[in-house]
Amino acid sequence: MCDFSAKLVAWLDQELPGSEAIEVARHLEICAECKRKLDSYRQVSNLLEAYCESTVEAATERRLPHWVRAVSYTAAAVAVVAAALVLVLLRMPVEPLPDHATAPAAASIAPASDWNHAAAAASAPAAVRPASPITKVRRHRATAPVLPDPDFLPADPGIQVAIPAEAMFPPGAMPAGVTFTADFSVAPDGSVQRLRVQPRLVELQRRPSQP
Amino acid sequence: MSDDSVPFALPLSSCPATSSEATTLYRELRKPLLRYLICLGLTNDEAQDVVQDVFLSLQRHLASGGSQENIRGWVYRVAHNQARNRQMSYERRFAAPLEAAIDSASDEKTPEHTLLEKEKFRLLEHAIRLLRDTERECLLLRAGGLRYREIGAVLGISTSTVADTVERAIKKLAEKCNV
Repeated sequence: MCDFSAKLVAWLDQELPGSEAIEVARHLEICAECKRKLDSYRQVSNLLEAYCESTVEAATERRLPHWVRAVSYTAAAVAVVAAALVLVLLRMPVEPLPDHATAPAAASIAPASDWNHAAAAASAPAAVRPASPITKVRRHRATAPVLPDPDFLPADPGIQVAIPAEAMFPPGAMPAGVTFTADFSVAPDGSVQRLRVQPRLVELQRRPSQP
Repeated sequence: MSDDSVPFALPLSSCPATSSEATTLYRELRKPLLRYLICLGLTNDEAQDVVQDVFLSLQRHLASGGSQENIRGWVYRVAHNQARNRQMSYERRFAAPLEAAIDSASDEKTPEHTLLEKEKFRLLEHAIRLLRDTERECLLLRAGGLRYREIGAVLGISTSTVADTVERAIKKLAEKCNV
């Protein structure tokens, strides 16, 4: 074994005194074995450095347990469905209540003690409900999208819901900065129309040529 | 680990120069110290707690006129001792799953590169397990950028012993990792 082999790591770490460091440097120019060992020590040092970095990244990265992620995905999906249902219900026609003032006042009521008489009286035509047309109560139109998107110009007023990528995909499955938007409108009969889910890159400037 | 702000409140009665020095050292050593503690086997939360305690101790040390020679070694020594007190066993770190450390480094690499890196890390981890405590600690402190003199101050051994220990540990790792 070469006499200088024990000093190679210290030389690599620049821990040798000046004169010794010069001797090792000169030796490395002529000794292939020491040069090969030095190269392997350097590789191990770099590998250890990378390993430490990965360890720290793994430790500092906030990882949620699987069940928490599953619950959050489910909750996000339920929230989207619930929001859509609320919007649908807001669009449903509302029947006005009957006008009690127009009901005949001669609705006879049998004495409370005589149920037979009460039953007979109830079977007779009593209050006649006036036929009233079903009127649609106009509710306020759904306002602007939940998250205004200056880059999106819908052809007609619609509803836009922002969905984070983490709600639909496992963490890391989608590149950073990718989110999704669901665009749809609600027809007068309450059905969802023109549902479209598309990805959107945050902080990406729209090119003028894009539709 | 991107927050460089000083989280602890400095007492109003402390010397401004002392506070400034402690703050400077905090900004310089916080991340390397966290890395050392996590690689020793502490969780991120434990490591953060230790770092907080260490720099509070540093502030008191400086305010009381303590020696400022080899202050980096002093900081690491206090952190090292606190880590040993907190840990049940150093084996805790190396019982953690390897995939967690690998996954965080492989997001943007090709599958072949990821596989090779994973295999290298597996061999390295196995080799580290076989080292003695002193050898492992010397290597981790060396990876944290400490000089041999500072490592000796942390572990309470001479500089020449540090050099021999580091050289022996690196050789062992090189043999086990087929490098």
